[in-house]
Amino acid sequence: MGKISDAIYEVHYMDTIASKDSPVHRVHPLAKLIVTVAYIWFTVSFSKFNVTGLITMVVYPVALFSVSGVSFGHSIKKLRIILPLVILMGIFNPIFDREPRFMLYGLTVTDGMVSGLTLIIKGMLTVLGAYLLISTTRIESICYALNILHVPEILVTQILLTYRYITVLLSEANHIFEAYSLRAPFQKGIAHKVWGSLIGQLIFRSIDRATALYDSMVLRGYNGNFRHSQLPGARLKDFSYVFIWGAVFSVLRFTSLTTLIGSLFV
Amino acid sequence: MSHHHIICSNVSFSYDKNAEILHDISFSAGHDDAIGIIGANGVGKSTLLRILVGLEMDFTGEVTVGEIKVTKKTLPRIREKIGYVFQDSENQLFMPTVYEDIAFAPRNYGLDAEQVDERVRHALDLIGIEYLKNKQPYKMSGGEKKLAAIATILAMTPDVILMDEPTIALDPRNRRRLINILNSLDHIKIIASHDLDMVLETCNRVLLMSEGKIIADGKTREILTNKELLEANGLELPFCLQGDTGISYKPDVPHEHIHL
Repeated sequence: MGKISDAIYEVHYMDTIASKDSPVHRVHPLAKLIVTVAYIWFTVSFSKFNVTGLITMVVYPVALFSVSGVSFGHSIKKLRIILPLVILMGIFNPIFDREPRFMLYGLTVTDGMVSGLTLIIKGMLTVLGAYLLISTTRIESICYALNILHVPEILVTQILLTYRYITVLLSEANHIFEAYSLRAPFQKGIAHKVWGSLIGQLIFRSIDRATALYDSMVLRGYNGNFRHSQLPGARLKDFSYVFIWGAVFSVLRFTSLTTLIGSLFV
Repeated sequence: MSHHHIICSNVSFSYDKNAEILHDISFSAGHDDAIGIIGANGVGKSTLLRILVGLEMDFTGEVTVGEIKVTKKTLPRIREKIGYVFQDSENQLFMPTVYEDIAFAPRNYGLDAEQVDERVRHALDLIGIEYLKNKQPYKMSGGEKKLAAIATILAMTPDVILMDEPTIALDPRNRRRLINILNSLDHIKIIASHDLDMVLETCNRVLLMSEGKIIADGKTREILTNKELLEANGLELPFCLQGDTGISYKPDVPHEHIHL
């Protein structure tokens, strides 16, 4: 079951790249969280026909990829998984909205085509923005930032423990499926008649592992409130990070940069 | 009475009324005691450890740690003084780095960042694993994980250390390292193990269990050299005391195969 071990590797890979050191990694998690939320907000707020304006928003992921050292190729490979969902969001627009908008090389481009395209671009950019946040910030630091923002403790703990338990569930699934496939060498996948008992096994084993993990936490003083490591307070560069990106997003959103650049050459 | 004290009086435990796992267990452990709990599989060694640390509470009888009786109310105070090392270190290491894992308990006990850092560094230094400080547990070997798991409980500065099969899955070098570490720790130690050689080297007292009962409680040397007693309870002499076992490698001697 290569896919499960791939998934475990992927979670560990995210942990590894989020723990790297780069100017972006060193920015305070709260600053990165605010900038990411702002980026997503500004991106989705573009009008559904403003494709050119929307495209200028790639400046943020491009800058972060080049400074943080996060692999662009790997990110795109990962985004491939959610690409069908993003396309699905915009695919029906051309069918429902057939109002002609402009002609391009003799082809009528409809409102639906343009709005569908912007929807797909918005989806890709926002997912990329969130991906860059988790690639440059450890989950504990993101939870720490959420804590500062007074997000309810129970929600923050849920996020943190869900993330930690994912690998527990995946590794148990991997053990079960490996044991199965070693004794069923000529089968492709798993026979559906044993799915029930395998999933039952998986649930019980995961509960056992999760209980042991919880016991280990309780024995070390855990009482329901996750104590986060105290990060240094925000410094001038963290405020600057928020301010500069806020300014960039505002310029891109509220001025037509492409028209402005075009007018320079006309 | 010393605060470093565990008293277990007439403790019985069962998940099911018809199948008692522990029956009338009584013993006490004082300062400088290093106790090995030995016995065949399923005699209740791990369950006894879980009761001592309050992970199983539906027992009858009484357990006292220091001056405090183990009840649901006193569990936080009891657990602050007892470090429990799980059989499977994977269950003990759940934070992204070894540093964060070791810092988990001191943070929960309300220490400030500076004190937490001091505790973590001290625990790493005691075990000699400073080089693992920023390592992610899933990238570590079984031996490193075990050492890191021990460091996580040392950061709590416990009076009592409980260990469930600490040498399981360790290679000889890491096993030796663990034995040296155990011998250097000045705590009450209670170690459940099948590794009788390790018990011989690290414990001054042994509790031999069978069918949920303690059937022998005495000095390590006395119990671990009693061949009849050990064999009657599903064990055998420690390897180092077995002398010539008669096992030798004879590649040229014909031997029978089992045909399935």
